[in-house]
Amino acid sequence: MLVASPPPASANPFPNNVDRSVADNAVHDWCKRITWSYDTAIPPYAMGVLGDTTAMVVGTNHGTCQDNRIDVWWDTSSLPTPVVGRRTCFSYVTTGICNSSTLVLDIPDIDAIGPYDYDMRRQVAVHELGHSVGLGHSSGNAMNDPVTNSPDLKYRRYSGHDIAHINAHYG
Amino acid sequence: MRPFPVKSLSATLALALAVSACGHEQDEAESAEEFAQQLALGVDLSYIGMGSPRQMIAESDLVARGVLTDVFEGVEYEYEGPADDGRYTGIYLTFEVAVEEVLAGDESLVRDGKVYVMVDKANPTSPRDLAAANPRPEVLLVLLDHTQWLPDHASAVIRPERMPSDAPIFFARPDGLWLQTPSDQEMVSPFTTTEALDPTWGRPRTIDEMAEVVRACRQGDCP
Repeated sequence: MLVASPPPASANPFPNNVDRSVADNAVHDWCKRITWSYDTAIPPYAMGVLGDTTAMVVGTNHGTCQDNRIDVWWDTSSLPTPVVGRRTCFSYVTTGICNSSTLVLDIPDIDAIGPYDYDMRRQVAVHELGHSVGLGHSSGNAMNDPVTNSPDLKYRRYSGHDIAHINAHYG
Repeated sequence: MRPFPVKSLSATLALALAVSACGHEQDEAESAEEFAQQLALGVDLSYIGMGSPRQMIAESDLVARGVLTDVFEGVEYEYEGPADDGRYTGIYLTFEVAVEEVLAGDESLVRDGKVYVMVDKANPTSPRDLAAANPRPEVLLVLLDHTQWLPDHASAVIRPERMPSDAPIFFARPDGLWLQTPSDQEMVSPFTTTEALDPTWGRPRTIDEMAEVVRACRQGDCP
């Protein structure tokens, strides 16, 4: 499986996701779309990584998604091959501030990458969640591009540089 | 950081002079960079990289270069029941590309010299705005045929009116969608950077260079 070598994380500005957008505040609440299937422990894992390693606060788990203002809607679905995870901003508060993101994981295609299903599912989840708070791609951490077939914990964690950006913005 | 292409001053000047000389008012000297950023606004993708040129050719349906002639609304999918909550409405648009060269794959998949490609977008992004911003760049596409593909909980594909009913619905690999205008010294992608390509590609910086790698691969020089 591929290991890309993008520019060093130290060069990353913030926000650095494609729309240069940040979340609307430091409290990131979340829900699972009614169509979520597979491993229900994935969203709590990713939200926990964000809450435990950065200054962001994991807000309410709303259960099944109904309110379009909830910061993160988690879902599982087939995505067009070879995409295994997708984050889209569903609505903006204003330019540069995303009100609500949809994070979709293609679990069967993630599992097909290799033998590390548990780790890879979480890697992609942490990666997409990182985009929802403003992170772009970098190397050697959860924001690696493309995805990296590895059980190494570092691919399920944000880099120190990215954490510093998050803390400076939301802390 | 997403590396921005360095504009070639000499190329820009040459094109500006050429445009001025023939009296065209089109923005043919525009960079593809701003268009790519506008396209990708609000979309971040995780994907499996296409690997080496050999892997890419083996695992793709069509590899082509051409010109992005139009942008319009995308394929929609018909959802049922609670899955129809609007989250997955308006998340694709369509690239209409006039094919100039098939680099690899099945040429019969090209319809009347064109291919139609579904491209991810965020719900609020307007295809009409993107069409207006289209600098008609040269494109290099690594395509997969998704005509029969359905997302979970969807029961039918709804094609945009402007997509011929018999044309394959292609999806471009995120690392196989490259744009470049004459004023760009380097190609750009909405979803990734050239640094993310497998090293066996030899770090192509332009569509010409990437196309040459594919041609060489078909002739046996294939990493």
